[in-house]
Amino acid sequence: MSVRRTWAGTVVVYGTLMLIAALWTIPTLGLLISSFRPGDEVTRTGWWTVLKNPAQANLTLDNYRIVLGMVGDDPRLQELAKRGQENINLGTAVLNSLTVTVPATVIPILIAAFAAYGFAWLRFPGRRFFFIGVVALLVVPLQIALIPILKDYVRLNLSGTFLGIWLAHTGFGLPLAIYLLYNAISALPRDLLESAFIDGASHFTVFTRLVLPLSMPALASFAIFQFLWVWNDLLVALVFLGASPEVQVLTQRLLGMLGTFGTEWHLLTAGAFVSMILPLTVFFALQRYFVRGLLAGSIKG
Amino acid sequence: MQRVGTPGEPAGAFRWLTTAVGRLLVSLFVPTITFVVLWRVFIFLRDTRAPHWITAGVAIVWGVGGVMALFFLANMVIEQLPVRWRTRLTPFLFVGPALVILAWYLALPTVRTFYASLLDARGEQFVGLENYVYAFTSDAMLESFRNNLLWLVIGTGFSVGFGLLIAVLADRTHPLFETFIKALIFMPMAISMVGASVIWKFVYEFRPPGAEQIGLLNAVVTALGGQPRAWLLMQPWNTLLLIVILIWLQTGYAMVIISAAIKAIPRELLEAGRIDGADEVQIFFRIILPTIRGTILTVATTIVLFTLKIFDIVQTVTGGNFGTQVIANEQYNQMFRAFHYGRGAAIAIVLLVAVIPVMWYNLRQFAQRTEAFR
Amino acid sequence: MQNRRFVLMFAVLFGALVLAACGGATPTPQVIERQVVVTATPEPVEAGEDIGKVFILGPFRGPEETAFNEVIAVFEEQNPGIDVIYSGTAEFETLITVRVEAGDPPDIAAFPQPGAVAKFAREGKLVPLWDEALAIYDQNYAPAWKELSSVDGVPYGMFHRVNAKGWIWYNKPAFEAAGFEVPTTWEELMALTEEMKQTGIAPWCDGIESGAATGWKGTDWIENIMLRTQPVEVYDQWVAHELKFSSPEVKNAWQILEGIWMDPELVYGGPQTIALTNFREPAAWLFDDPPKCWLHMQGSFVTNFFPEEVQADLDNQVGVFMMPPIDDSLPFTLEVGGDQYVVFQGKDRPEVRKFIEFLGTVDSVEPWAKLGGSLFPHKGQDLTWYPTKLERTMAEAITGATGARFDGSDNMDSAVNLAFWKGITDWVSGNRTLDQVLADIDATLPTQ
Repeated sequence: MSVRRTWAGTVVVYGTLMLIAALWTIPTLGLLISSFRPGDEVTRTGWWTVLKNPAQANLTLDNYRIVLGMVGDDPRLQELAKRGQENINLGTAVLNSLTVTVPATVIPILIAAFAAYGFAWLRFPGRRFFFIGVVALLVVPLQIALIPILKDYVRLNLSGTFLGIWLAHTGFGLPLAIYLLYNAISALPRDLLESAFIDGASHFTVFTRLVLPLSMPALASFAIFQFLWVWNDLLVALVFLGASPEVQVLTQRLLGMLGTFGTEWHLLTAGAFVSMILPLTVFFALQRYFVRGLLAGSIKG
Repeated sequence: MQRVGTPGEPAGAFRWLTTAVGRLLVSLFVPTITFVVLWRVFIFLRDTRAPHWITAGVAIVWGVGGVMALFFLANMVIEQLPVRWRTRLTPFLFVGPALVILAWYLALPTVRTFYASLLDARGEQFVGLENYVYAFTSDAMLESFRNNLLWLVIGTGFSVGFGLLIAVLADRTHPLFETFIKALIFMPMAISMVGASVIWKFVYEFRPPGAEQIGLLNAVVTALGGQPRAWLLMQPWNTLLLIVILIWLQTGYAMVIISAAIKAIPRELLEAGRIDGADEVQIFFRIILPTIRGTILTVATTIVLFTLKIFDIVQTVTGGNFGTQVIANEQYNQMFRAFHYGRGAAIAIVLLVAVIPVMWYNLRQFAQRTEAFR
Repeated sequence: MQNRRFVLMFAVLFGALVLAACGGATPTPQVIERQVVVTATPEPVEAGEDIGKVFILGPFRGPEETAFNEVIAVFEEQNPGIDVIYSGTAEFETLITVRVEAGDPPDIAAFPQPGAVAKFAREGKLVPLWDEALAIYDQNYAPAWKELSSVDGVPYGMFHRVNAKGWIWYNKPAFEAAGFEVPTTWEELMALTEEMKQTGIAPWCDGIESGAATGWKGTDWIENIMLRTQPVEVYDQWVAHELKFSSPEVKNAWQILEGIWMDPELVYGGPQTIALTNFREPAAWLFDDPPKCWLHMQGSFVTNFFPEEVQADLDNQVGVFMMPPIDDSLPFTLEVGGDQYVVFQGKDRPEVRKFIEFLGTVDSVEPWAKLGGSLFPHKGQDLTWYPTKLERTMAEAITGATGARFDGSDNMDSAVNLAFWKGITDWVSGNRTLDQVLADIDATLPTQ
């Protein structure tokens, strides 16, 4: 397989990408460096001074130690940590976040995939109307739904439960999910699906055996975003799951360390990075679905 | 009544009876068992005192598995039915759950909001269109309309543009390099809103001339010999600077989705173009772009709608002050700070109405692109 | 093919059923203190039934939350059967509105703004204070506090942690080294700032940035000036929205502030810096080397914003004086703020009442006072509980204040409060002129 690529072309491509990526990363780099600096210094000098004078920089792991609760026997750290939140331990918060996020990612994908297939390949009355309704709901700010839904939850005894928050995130995430998945599923080649129907398969079988595997890139894309959004969410968790210590999610716990006046915000920098680990891991894990060639070969089939 | 006969199975009234009864029993038995199982696990979760991680694990499996089981179940029930019913009910199986959930969580609250928009601040007296007059004529809202237009055009344009550029270029590089670059562009999305606003405060921070600058932008400006500026006070630049934050965040989103679409273009198509003698630029404009047009529209639509909803960035960095107010932040202010439910509701409805052109365009695309069977 | 799948599915389901049925019978291995409730909330409790749990929602977190937990610990020691849980959250105002309107309020909430309390009280969502609580007020607090917690004459909240505003802070060693003297009148203060101009270091520094609440710092100034230029009745009329912002009395206060803030030689970095600087930062600037400014006006909670070395040596490093009177004929009125704890309708249970009453007693003060950084109005407190002389002075001022008024903007109608904040911001940043700003705020005044 010969691809005509000039040497200059390659340089342009790699060079542009690296430039853009560098620009993009600068702010994040700033946060990273700040997370290793003591609180008082962060407001006194810019973070790049660390790069200019690494020897003089007062780098420390304290922020991370406090956020992770690994204070140990160091009395100074204990004193600093005491000013943060004690009654939640990090492990509980992470578990809670996981318990909320995993189903709140998978369930909307499932339901949306079914619906997207329905909009794309099934005929039923009101199809257009409902689809436009879905697109319109994309713009509804979720704040207006908080009070009515919570009222219903209180009556149904769902307030403060994980089931409740799963359903809430599903509801809020469905419009985008359906819209994105519709885009992918409607682009599948018609002949491919038709040959399956000729072989006697039902819609359900075609959906589960053919459409789902073929739309994996789209499913994976949406999974990343939904995971991210739910993982970093604060308000929905506060409203539907509650503020009590044992159900607090990670975002809440990290913000709680901040103090009312936000004086502890060097802890926030460390907290932001700790919180980023899992979403980034998910991103990398799902990268394998973004591979060319999933469809290649299937047309001939 | 139809029956499905498989080759080799003797037809006959007796056979038919037993299979029908058998099907009926299965249709009743299996769902019942499934519901019982789901219910028992629910009780278990509610009353258990097991260690937290066990409860978490069981809850996750129950949640995800339960939904999957329900779908399989519903399908199984439908497949027991004669063909005509099957055709009628299958769409409900697929689209039903989504529509029900959306109705409860988003559509109904919207209707309630519309009703509330016709009432006064406390939601007690009918005031007609008074709130809408506020929504269209108050200074804060007029400022917001102007700003949101900027957010919409510039924010969407650059996010999609950069996303497309990066997706296309990265596709031509070594897979490891590609993953690395994509991860860096994507990383901002993984940072929570609070973290992102802290980062950008470090970029735009202002200190008076002569003092040490701790904001990156002013540090660069002073290093180049200029005077530090109070960026966030300067209109309309401050809105543009806030939009930069949005672009920083959303490009990763656009890139991921467009990249997935580009990967879905069959290799043969691209190869055919190259064999025909087209250079890379032509391939981009003649093959890639047309094929992913639908995806670009989708991404653009979602970002446009997202820019209409944007409020965390504005709220945290400027609080909507200095001329940076946006519709969604004003809506939040009215609803949760000024406690004026009527106005908050009216602004939300105005947002919905503002989306109509977008919806109209999408409807046309929908009609063109959608096929259906049977 | 179809059959095999059926059998498989059936087997899985049956197996799961067996497991679940068996699982439900597992005995409790150990009682874990705080249970994770995964799926359903416990049955809603009737008001009046004692369930032994109290749930409190509030806005403060971090070190203050830790301090409050110490207070709770004392209560739980005295009342072994009651479990009190406090949750602090950044989204307090949104959360409390949503939960109350949806019918799922906490038992108790800590409100820093009486305006919000008034709103909920008028909607009938709060329980007025009962006889025992009122008795505690009469016994332990100066009469002003009960009035401050009243809506339309009915008291609703129990005050606990409070602060006082109008203090002016300075870097003691540097101040004394420069030979300055603490002013006792407004003229002396103005003369002092003129003197300070000569040193090349700005007399004042200030910052009003606060995210969505940007501008509240300026409202503190206006309120303190109002209390020093107008009789207290006029202040009350202003807060009750009977006096417009564009009236000469109120406009005069803004103009006095204008004389300070808008003079680029008087404030570090000029108005631009004020508009963009976060309210916590100027406190640390007093102690920069060299200091960026000499004076900083801020409430008693400023002690949290000083650099760590300064906080460790507060009495020696930090000096403070109360903003001097402007009109000598007026008696001194202290501007205060604080958190009041209210009970929601439907949550009026014995243990909830007990906790509220506890907050009114001196026992609830000791653990928090000892940690420093907060002040309390309770009579009969031991001033030595406060770790620094500074705090003792401020606590004395609070408990001894004959005239006190709550932070005006916190007490105003929420929409006006919001407009007041925004007005300050627009005015300082040069976005709107003073007259425009006053008109903007007036436009939001309730029309009754």
